[in-house]
Amino acid sequence: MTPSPRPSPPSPGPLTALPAYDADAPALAVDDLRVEFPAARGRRTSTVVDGASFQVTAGQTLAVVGESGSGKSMTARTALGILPAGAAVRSGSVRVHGVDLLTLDERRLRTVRGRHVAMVFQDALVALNPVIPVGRQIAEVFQVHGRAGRRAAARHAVDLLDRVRIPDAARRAGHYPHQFSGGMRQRVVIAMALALTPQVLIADEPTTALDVTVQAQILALLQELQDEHRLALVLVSHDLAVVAQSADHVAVMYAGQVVESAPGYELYRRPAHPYTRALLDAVPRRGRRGHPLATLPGAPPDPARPADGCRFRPRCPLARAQCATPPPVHNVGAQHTSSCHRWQEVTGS
Amino acid sequence: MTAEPHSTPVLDVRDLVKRHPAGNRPLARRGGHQITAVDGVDLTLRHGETLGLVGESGSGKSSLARLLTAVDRPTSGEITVLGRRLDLLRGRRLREMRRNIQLVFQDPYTSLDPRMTVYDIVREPLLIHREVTPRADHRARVAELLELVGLSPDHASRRPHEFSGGQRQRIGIARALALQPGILVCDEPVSALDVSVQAQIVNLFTALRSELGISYIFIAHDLAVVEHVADRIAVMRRGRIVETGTVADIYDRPQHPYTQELLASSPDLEPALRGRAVPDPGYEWLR
Ligand SMILES: Nc1ncnc2c1ncn2[C@@H]1O[C@H](COP(=O)(O)OP(=O)(O)OP(=O)(O)O)[C@@H](O)[C@H]1O
Ligand SMILES: Nc1ncnc2c1ncn2[C@@H]1O[C@H](COP(=O)(O)OP(=O)(O)O)[C@@H](O)[C@H]1O
Ligand code: SF4
Ligand SMILES: [Mg+2]
Ligand SMILES: [Mg+2]
Repeated sequence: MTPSPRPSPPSPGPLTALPAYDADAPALAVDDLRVEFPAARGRRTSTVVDGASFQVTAGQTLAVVGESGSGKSMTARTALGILPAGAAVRSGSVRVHGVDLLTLDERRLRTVRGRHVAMVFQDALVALNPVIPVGRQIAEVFQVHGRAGRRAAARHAVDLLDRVRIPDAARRAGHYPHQFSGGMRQRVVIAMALALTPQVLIADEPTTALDVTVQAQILALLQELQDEHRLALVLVSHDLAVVAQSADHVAVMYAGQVVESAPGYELYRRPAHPYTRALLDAVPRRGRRGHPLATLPGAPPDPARPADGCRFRPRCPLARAQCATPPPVHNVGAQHTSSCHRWQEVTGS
Repeated sequence: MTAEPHSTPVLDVRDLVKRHPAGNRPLARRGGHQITAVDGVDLTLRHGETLGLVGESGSGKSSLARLLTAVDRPTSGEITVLGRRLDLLRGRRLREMRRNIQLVFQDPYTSLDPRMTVYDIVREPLLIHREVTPRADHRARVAELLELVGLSPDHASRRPHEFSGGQRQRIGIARALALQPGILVCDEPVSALDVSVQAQIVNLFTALRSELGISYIFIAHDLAVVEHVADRIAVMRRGRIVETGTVADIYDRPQHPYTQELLASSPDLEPALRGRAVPDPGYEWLR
């Protein structure tokens, strides 16, 4: 694979002009974010992101892990300013290099999307238009943002397809989405997300719908692209095994909260929250054949009826009376926090 | 897993072929091509055994599952279930034979009719095969089936949308068990589920096997899951079985390059856990 020239020089983007912009600040910092679906006809307020905080710097991968419904996608969507209708941000901030996106108006946010923060979704088909050749869809991204004329945009599109290792990119640019396999389609979507050289790429379960062999290829591709572009990569998954090789740092989400946050090597070897241990133990592991898998009984709480105190209490084997009060964030190691009263028993320290 | 000898074959498949007209596939339309989804498959399932079937998307796993359960009929080849040629049966005899080999679907979100209650869903096979359970006993039988798969009989009056993915998969399993089949063909029964829920369902299959003596064909695209449930594994690629062996053969001594590739790509926690500070398995230990 010969490195092709960048489709366009990395542009400073619209945020750099703002006074809050700080090149040295984390590429993405989410702080105490609260998102809810307010009460409506016969429905109670549902807090789906409940004080989540994490950050990621250029060239690093943050994995956000948790069961379905834990608020991973809602957090990701908030960062991109694409919350579903009815959802509202109650408090907190989402800063890109110091600039709080939640304070920007929609016009400005539109220019941020793609140029500073881009997203790849689980289902590539949703992100692509079935009746337009993929090359033209990518070229349109440049044109819409006034970054290139028609001819140049078409050339850039082929370059990008080449960058995401699509063989015979010039010819493939003329093909329609249905003519690609699932894995190739996900590459096209990644190419589109990278078109405007964003600093932050959020990949929400980018491989969940794919075969294991293809999954491994896409994860490797994301790592390579991250190195090339010094991207801050947020990798969202429900499976700790999938992100084990790529994550510099892991944030474990449960019921809208980040319950544990740690460097990758630390989280897997010294988990300090019972939920993290439960997730680790539920992963089928090679060489443990014949052993029943450790299960995590029960299901996450309904976000409209959260338990008092620790959200994990109804499912936690360590729960005691003290767990009826919300656990504080404990520092349990270097860059390692756990929201569990009894973290010392979990780590065995 | 179990030490019993799985001697008697309950299912035997010889040179099975299924071709589809390629009509709705845009690239293959020209020339009236056919797609060979299953291309000369041989396999044997013995009594009480779990055979894992793995392979990439489009390799023909679901097509094979549909042939084995007579949802689809083969283009050629033989399927012998409990000594009878399934592929030759028609009409009433086929319907009777189908009782013995039931299918559990991949997607718990789309495979249950949203308008039906759980009771109606689980009971449906009993209405088709009236000879199995007298009508007066249907309520009791459905309650028993729900308990068997870890649901509450109280759930019977609810509808599928009120359940999580894992619970819906349990409902699908209860329905598949209604006719007391000797063989369950499970088509990616846990692929659409979270890892935490996958473990519950995988353990349920294992428990049902020792409780009911069922033989399984367990389809998955993920090798780590089948290692936990299967005795033997068949690796499928482009409509063919490229390698078959015991779990130890396939995982410790894979012969076919494709099997090796599958193993190498399968996400593995082991390297990340090396040097782990806590005892193993951790969560159970916390109790
Ligand atoms: N009714 C049909 N008409 C035409 N082609 C079909 C039909 N059913 C299956 N095929 C084709 O047969 C091949 C095997 O498909 P099948 O669904 O059995 O694969 P699979 O191994 O179950 O894949 P997956 O892992 O994605 O579920 C594919 O090429 C598929 O497109
Ligand atoms: N459009 C919506 N309307 C109401 N609730 C929603 C909507 N989208 C998501 N939710 C709820 O928000 C919570 C978090 O969802 P999500 O962020 O998608 O979880 P994850 O990505 O971790 O699986 C869930 O309880 C989900 O049911
Ligand atoms: S605070 Fe209590 S209930 Fe919550 S995870 Fe820790 S021990 Fe369990
Ligand atoms: Mg999600
Ligand atoms: Mg299938």
